[in-house]
Amino acid sequence: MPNPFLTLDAPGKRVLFMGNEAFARGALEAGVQVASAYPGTPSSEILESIASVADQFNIHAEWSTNEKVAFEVGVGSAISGLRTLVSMKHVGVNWIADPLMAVNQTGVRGGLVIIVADDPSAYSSQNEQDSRFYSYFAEIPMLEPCNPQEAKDAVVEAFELSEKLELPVFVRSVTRLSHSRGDVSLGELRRERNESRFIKDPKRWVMVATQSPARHKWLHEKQNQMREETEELFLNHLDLPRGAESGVIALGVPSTYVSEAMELLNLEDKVAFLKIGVVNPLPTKKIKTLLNTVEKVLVVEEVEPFVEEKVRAIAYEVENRADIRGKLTGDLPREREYTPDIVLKALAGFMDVEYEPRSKELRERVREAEDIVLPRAIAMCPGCPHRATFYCIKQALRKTGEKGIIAGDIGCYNLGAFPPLSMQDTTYGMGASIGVACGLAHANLPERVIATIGDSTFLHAGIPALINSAYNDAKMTVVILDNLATAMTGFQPHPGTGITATGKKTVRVDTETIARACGISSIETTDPYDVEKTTQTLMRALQSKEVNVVISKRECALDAQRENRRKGIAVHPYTVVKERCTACRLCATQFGCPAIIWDKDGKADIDALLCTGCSVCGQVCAAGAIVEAK
Amino acid sequence: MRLEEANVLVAGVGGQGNILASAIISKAAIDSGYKVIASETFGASQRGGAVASHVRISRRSLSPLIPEGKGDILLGFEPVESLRIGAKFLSPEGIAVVNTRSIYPVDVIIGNRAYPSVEEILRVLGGLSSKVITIEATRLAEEAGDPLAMNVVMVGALAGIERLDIELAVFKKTIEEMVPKRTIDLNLRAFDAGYGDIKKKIEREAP
Ligand SMILES: Cc1ncc(C[n+]2csc(CCOP(=O)(O)OP(=O)(O)O)c2C)c(N)n1
Ligand code: SF4
Ligand code: SF4
Repeated sequence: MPNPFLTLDAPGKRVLFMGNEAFARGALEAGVQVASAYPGTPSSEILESIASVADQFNIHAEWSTNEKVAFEVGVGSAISGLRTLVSMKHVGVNWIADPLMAVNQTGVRGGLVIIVADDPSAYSSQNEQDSRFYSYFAEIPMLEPCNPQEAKDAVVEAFELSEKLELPVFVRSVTRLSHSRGDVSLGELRRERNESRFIKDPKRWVMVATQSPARHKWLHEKQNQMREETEELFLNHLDLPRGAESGVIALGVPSTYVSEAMELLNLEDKVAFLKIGVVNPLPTKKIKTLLNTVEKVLVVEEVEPFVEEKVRAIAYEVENRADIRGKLTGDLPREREYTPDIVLKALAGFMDVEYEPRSKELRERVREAEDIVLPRAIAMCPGCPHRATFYCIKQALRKTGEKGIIAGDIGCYNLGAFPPLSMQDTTYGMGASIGVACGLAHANLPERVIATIGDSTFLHAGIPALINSAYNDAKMTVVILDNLATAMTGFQPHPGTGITATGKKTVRVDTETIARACGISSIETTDPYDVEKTTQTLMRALQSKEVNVVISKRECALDAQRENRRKGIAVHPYTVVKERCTACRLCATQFGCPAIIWDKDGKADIDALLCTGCSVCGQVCAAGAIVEAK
Repeated sequence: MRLEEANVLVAGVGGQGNILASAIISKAAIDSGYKVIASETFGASQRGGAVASHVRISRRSLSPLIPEGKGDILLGFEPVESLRIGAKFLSPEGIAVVNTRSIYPVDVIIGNRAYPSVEEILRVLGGLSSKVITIEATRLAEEAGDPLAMNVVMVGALAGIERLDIELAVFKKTIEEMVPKRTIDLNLRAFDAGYGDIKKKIEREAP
């Protein structure tokens, strides 16, 4: 259901937006004409929001096959003069790095805004990564808003800046901002649209050998203008109370923790506060003013001590040598997302004041509570086809007597890394399962090498690696877990689904045909809900001496369930025939569907509210105790 | 007593509909003239993991997370999650409303750990707050037509404790605006069930 406020033409009205909707609204207010992205938590809702209103606003919105393609689509439209938004999660920027490092030098004509959403604490990612470095690497501006209101306003500003400077402009988000929800005051929707025109200019657009240093010079000449345009932007704000001897520099969401901590610690008129919302170029004048006024400065930023190091460099240019503190001095942690309490503690330490929100007695009760509370590991959903596929791989390995090494990949199936399955031996980045498996296969290991990869990930980055496996004869089995969706990131369609971002029918790219065209001759497709057949198929594949592909195909259970609910189709849950259950617990220890629970006698029970009726536990149970409920 | 500034926590498990509940509360607060910021701890897109929404209702701009020990109201969708989040964030003056239906973590399912008794959980939570009210929200939702509407039963319960400066009618209008059209009646029934259940319990307690 699109948020009706996205398109509401009522300047000044305060509405509820998720951070990502605020980014999308900002793009709509700026008159965006093209939007492209590849899904990735926490960035996906930006394109989803724009796609939900694309027809109404005459916008071309697309899910591209990967971030590099999405960015290149954006480049094509921006050099044709159109306002363009490209959005991705932090690791997506690693994929666009190649074209980015050329587009920064050709520049653009229509505004090109790249929203990159970092994921401190790696809640939904393979790593923590600070994407702010890319703005310095590419020598282009980066804005960093701190709340949904600023998120919207920063995008509008980024489009203006991009056209003024003719450079792509980054906007950095983090999970805490993209996925927060807050009130946003609407702005005006820009009525005029940029004219679309490609002006041939090979000296500019053709980044060919020998010609490019001239473009690099052009980029360097832009740097002064970049500084002038951004120092006074509304995103930067210096508050210098008279007589303050200490100061804080903070960016993004943590700056909101700082404001609140100052209040809780009664420091508001004692501590100077520089809130920075432009990462590149930093507001050097304001930083110098602060450094010249105070004795010590605490830099509060998430992920890397990126600004802290820059402030240290700037400090060499001022007379007063303020003591600069932060991650590098151990005042703040180096890893993980900050919280109000991390910032409170750091600020209290920095200012040498006490902060303890709870009495001693209460702290003891909290400890008692913590002893009772159990961890709750994330797991695949009840009825997930991936769990069935992993179970079948396990059975096939056991029955063939092979030992396996499973090179994993990114997606819901990566949760197969956790007990009771424990069936992912490596995970790196998108598509890496097949590439890494090629290396493992050539390492002459005694184990059979298996790569497991999802359908969306296969299309994103698996194809070149699969070609490599055939071309270089890597003896291994590639299992494509095709659940007909990009499930992990929220069920976005992809080329294998035959549906576009705006819900239109399009060509359906067939995984099996691609695998064949990659040079694989042995390909079998199976339904993981059929445990016997899938296990047999996998056994054949594992015993083969050549590289082969097994496509384990079944719609994502959660997606299917939502579809059934929408259509009013009832599920038929499974149930346990108590007389037959031997309390062996194999269905839990070998398989582990979260809908299976335990009764007082240690026998299995099925939570009818969670069960999707997939039938797989019934096939797992050797005693035949699990059957469809009447 | 209605609060002028309120920190509300919604603790549950991925898939229980925390986000919709917290979005309904947030929008109802904005429509009542407040500023709101809300977000989740433990990541929102996780399958079956713990999810806690922090909803901050105020006249000014606040940060998206509640400092430890500063939570005023806890809506617990699941007993263990109520205690996890209550212990960390609830203020000793705070109040907790807890759905008593458990969802077992994988560790319990595969037999590595035992799920603590709900009585024990409630006792400990009681020592950390001023008051704990229990509710069979999942059953009430089932009776209203769909167990998945438990989240909206809990929003009804929140309205029932009457701590927020949000009119009943605003809650109902917000639900009508935010849930899919064909489920409006169901969700309003769920809301009323939660509201009624809590009102009854509070009245029974009153001297
Ligand atoms: C470069 C990059 N882009 C995006 C993501 C976010 N992401 C995580 S898993 C995934 C794809 C999941 O789809 P699929 O492979 O079909 O597996 P499923 O979750 O459906 O099982 C994506 C896009 C990422 N981790 N890295
Ligand atoms: S969302 Fe779909 S693919 Fe992902 S764990 Fe759930 S059922 Fe499996
Ligand atoms: S049929 Fe069995 S495996 Fe499938 S969802 Fe129900 S309990 Fe889980």
